[in-house]
Amino acid sequence: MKHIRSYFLGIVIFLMPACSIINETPVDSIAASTYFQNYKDVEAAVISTYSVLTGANSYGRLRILATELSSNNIEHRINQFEFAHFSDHQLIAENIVLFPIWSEIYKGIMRANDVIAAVPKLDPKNQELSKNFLGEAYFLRAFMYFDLVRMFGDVPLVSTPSNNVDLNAVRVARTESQKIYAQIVADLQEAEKLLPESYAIKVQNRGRATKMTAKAYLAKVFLYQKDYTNCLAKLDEVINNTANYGLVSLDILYNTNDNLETVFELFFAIDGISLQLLPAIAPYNGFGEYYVNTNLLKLFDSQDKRLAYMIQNNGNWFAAKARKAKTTTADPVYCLRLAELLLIRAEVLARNSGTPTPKALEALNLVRQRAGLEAKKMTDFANLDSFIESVLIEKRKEVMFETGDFWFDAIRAGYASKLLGVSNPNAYLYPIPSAEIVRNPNLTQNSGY
Amino acid sequence: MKKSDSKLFFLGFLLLALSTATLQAQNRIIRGTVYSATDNSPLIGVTISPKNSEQMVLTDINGDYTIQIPDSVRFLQFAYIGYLLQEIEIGEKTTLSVHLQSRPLVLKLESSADSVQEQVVAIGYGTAERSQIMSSIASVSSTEIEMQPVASVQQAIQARMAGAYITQNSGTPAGGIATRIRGLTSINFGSEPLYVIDGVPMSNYTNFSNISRINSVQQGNNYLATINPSDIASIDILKDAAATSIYGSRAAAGVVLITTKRGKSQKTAINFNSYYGIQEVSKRLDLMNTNQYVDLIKETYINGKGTLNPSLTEQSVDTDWQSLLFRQVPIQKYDISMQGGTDKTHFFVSGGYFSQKGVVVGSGFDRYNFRLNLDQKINNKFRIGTSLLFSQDFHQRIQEDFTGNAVLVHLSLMRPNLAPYLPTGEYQLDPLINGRDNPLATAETVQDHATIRRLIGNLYGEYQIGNYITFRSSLGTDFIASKENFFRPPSTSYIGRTAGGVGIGIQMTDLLWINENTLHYKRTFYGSGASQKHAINFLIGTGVQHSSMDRIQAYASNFSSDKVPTLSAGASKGNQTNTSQEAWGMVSYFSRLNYSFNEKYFLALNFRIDGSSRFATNKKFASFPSASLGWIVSEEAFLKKYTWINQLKLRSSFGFTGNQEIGNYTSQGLYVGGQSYIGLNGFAPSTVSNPDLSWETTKQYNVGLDISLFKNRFSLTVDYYLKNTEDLLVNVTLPTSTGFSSSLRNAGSVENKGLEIDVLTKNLVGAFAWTSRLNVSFNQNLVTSLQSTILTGVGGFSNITKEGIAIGSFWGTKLIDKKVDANTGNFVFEDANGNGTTFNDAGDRQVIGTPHPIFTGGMSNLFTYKAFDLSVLAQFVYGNDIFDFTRSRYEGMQGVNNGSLALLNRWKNIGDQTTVPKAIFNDFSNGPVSDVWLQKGSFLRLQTISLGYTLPQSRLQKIKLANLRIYTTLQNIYTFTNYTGSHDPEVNAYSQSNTANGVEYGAYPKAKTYILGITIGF
Repeated sequence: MKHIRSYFLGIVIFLMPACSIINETPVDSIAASTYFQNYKDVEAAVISTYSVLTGANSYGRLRILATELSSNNIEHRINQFEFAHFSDHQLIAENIVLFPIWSEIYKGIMRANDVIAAVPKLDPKNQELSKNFLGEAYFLRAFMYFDLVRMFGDVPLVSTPSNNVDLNAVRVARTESQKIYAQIVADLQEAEKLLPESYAIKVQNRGRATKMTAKAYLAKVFLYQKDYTNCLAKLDEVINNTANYGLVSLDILYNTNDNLETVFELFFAIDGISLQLLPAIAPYNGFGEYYVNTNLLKLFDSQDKRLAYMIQNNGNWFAAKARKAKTTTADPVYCLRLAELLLIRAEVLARNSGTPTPKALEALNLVRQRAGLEAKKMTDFANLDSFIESVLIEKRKEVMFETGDFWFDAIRAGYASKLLGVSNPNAYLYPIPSAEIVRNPNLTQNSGY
Repeated sequence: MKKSDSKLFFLGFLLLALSTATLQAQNRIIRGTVYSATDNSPLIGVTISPKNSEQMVLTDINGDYTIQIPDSVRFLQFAYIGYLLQEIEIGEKTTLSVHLQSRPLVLKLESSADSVQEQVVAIGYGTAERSQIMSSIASVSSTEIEMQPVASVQQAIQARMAGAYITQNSGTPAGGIATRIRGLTSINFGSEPLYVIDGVPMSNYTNFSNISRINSVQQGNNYLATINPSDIASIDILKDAAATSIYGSRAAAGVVLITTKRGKSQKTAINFNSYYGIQEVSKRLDLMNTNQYVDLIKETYINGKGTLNPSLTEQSVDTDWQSLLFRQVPIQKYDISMQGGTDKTHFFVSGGYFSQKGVVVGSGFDRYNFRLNLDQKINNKFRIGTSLLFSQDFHQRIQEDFTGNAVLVHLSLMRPNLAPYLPTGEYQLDPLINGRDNPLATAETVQDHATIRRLIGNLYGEYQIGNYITFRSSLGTDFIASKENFFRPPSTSYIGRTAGGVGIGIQMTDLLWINENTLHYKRTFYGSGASQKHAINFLIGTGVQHSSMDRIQAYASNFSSDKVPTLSAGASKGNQTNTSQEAWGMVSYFSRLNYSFNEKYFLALNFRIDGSSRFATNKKFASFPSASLGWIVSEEAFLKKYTWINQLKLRSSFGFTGNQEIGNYTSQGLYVGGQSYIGLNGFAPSTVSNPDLSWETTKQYNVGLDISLFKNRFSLTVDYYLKNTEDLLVNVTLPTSTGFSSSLRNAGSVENKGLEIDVLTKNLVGAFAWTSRLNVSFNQNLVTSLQSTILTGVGGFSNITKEGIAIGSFWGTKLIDKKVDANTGNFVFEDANGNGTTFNDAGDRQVIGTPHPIFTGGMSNLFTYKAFDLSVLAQFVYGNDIFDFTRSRYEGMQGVNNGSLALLNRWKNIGDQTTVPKAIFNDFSNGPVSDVWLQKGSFLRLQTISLGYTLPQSRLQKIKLANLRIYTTLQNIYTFTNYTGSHDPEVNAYSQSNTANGVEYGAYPKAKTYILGITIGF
């Protein structure tokens, strides 16, 4: 009997190992299952989605390079083949630039999907406080699918978080591009409803999505869908909002951030990755890897004041537009600004009428005259086609070195052959990166690759 | 098994065990005197203890003793330092007087495979006699360790134990060492065995991400460098599942038990131990001189049609960079230890200093260590004790391997026609090759210092409950505080100039604590007339451990001067400053039952349940059972008549072990910060969660045989094992449309099978004695299933791991002929995929070799003649390949690097028959990963030759010393090998990787050492 007490003690000690010790939670990161607690967590997740766009595989470098090269606006200095294949429109599926572009876009989509799935699970109060952020997530998802569908055509449509551990379930096949576009429109319309008119901090009105940003992108997406009526309606909502949007002088446009003209721009932190890739020489501190395609020079009239801002010569022609390293922040990337919307308006008005109209011409001339060019006259255009072509060329000159949209524009409007010399329609879509097909055997390849 | 079940299970066991504890036993008293057999003088302080018991008494000044023992005790053991242990059956006697035989020198030095029955082996949560062990355990004793001066624990094991393949990745003092017990059982995680020192499982680098190694990148520090080998009493390696499964989830890669010395009841003995040696580089590379280099460069440019900068062919300077970087330096060690005790208190205390300068300028290692081991008997039932180690290590590293300015890579590439210094006395950076840093400047001026302070301690209490049960509780800790300072001055290297110099400071603390509680029940029952003997040994226990790490990193660049390395001198503080914290915890329940019948038939069962914080909610717990059976055939009547058979033992075992060495939170899916935009901080998922993430489980079969013949003059141990590791933790690639590139899954299995042979022969006995021991281990590794293909190594793809081949097989293009095309001077590669091209064609790659040896082993020979002893240890490795990346760089024939003398045989004219292609500037067609750079890595190394002289007892008494030995040792004196690459065939550039073994890239050369040492006992 005298041992009873020690037995008891022994049993207590034996069974002591507590469960808490095997339920460690991370300190310097947060477990995914417990991440979304309130609206602040939602905002931080949305911010991280924007930050994807500023990465080196996205608008920080490769995404812009790819379509600027395809637009034949720039070329690689020593014609390194992975870049030269974009300029020559001879891409191969193994291209090592394409895969990171593809996977980075989906990384952003995944982050947006997380937010879209998480907000409805919050308590009602936080759901309400997260409304704007949810709108941003819808906007960003649309923005990224818009890039994907224009580059690759049919792509896997992923609209829910990827926490599935079943490998077969995540090997998603391609969805036809019409359905992708439908999803983009639906997302933008949802964003339009949810997004705020403006942010408390002024700079965020251009750097984050607002109601107007959603409308402007809806207009652009409708343009690509050839839905000119809806396009015009959305365009006018933005263009007529003169309190917030208007043309500014070239000096302001190219030397300041956050000016009245921009609808959406991406900001870069000074010591993060910044967009300094196009300028080649001091004092611009660039990579020195890319030169301007000298054919571009032929597009400019001598009195075009944009030329001096955009292209300079220091032994080689290099892009100088709005890429000066500022002291406080690095240069932003202009994704969409009023000049482009005006040129879209010019095109759409003309297309709706089947012929150039004075109103269409007026929109075109607003952009031309700001550049110091003389106004075009109705008599300058023989027909709709010559007007459209003129608008496209004007747009190319206006937004070159920004996001490389001329490549998509030329294909959309059927001018790729005429303006870029690309007659093989298979080249109008990039190949699905082979590295992704290896990971996902359910993917098919675009024709011609 | 669910957790609640497991608790019930243990409660049941516990009650079962306790129910037998209340039986009381009768006592009787034995008396006697102990004499020395040599001169019949009484021996004072001889330890007398019942066999298998903790109880003991000492003889008094007249050699007399009295001991009170339970009736059940049948044998008494008599132990005395310098004498053979004697075991005597008591029978009906009440008086036992004994003459002890003094222990001859040769026996003292014999290795642990010696099948002397008295040998005690650590088995985890206890010890057992070697003869009673039916699992596979290899051991090294303190005498073997003391025989030769080794710097670390692993070196004490290297080449001495079957089944343990130890690779010293580089010659860096206290640099990383890879230990593989019975092959690679994991693809991505934890292949180092679990080291347990005096019951404390030591922390290792895989506990936390990012612990150390600022810029030395691949080569970590040896985390066992802390331990002074002189403090070690024995090292036991648990190999088969029956032995390891008591350590459950951490045991798949084997368990190494280190037991340090403890005091005994004896007169205080003081030992002083010291050696001093000189080291030098064991082998230099044969590099070209200026004339030979200039010839090559001219030719390179002519063939390559490049524009040659005439300064490249400057011939007025001829620098031997190796002479500048390599040096002769000392290695030295001073130890003092005291041990002794009364019948109540035992102590062992030691202090030591070890210093090894590196054979490459700018490197070295210093260690100060202090140990206190104490045991105190409070009363007959209660005992407490402690083991305590404190040490401070100072590592001074040079930039190795893949770092931007790796000293040894640049060393072999430097042009000989460049002077190391400018006329102004400053270091010269190659003005013609941008980024080619001066290795002398890098070695001398870049600081990479680490100070590691470590406390490993264990406190235990042991309480005897009744006669058969012992309760033991212990609390242990492994506390590491490390401090690393890195400084790259702003002016002495290209890479330093770009950022204006870089300074990094890292401080890290890692605190592990562990509490374990065991109940140990031990009893022998006798059947009818004592002819049937049932021995039961039952252990159950629980354990809980927790480990947490805190790390602070600070960073600065833009230093104004080369002279001030502290971060205060750096103008830009940068964004690499951060802190991090991680933790993991584990709870365990374990038990072991040993049963033997008549000491002939043995059964052992182990069962352990571990729960780890690292695994997903549904998979936290796992159980690891094992069983072994043994039969001592030589105890059977039909063999007993053959007296030349001393022992014949058959063993077999089967069981499970696990591996939990993955990231601490990997299963959870994580959101991390720092994803900022527009001045706001963002949080984003970094890993995808896997709620089913579970343990890697290794299933192991083992059969073994132990034979001792001819009065133990021939002993043989053979083991065959088959290990199947399932649910391998593998990063499986995902479609990136998920937003992730991979996810950690249990998605593979690997098989290791092998044969281990250990032979001990006493070739000569008597005045001139000669003992040999040979161990050979064969292991075969095969990936039996894998959901993804893993490419690693040089250029990201020199090694491949996929189904159907060994982990990390070499992957490259194959030469059609082992020489260059006599017409073109280029290699002709096999167009394996038949697409008409071999240039830059990934499709032509195939398995071209294996980094895994077919067999490895060692052979030791010990000769003794009177007071002299001579030991020779050789290590051998056979059948592996080495991918020599350094050579592919300096013999690539496309650049302006210096190269080896082999390049003098390069192809020059049509018709030349040679194995070295033509030199052609900027033409990389000869340079892909191919079997051109693959060499056989087999070698036989004369590891240690040691000659010692021990002063005879008669002389010792005159000078009033207990012991005096002087010795001289030669280490790494010669290596027989066909490997012509770098300094040494023992290479492993990617030491932290399981999948990229056998790659050589700028390895730190190993030292050849000449040592003189002395051991004095007072």
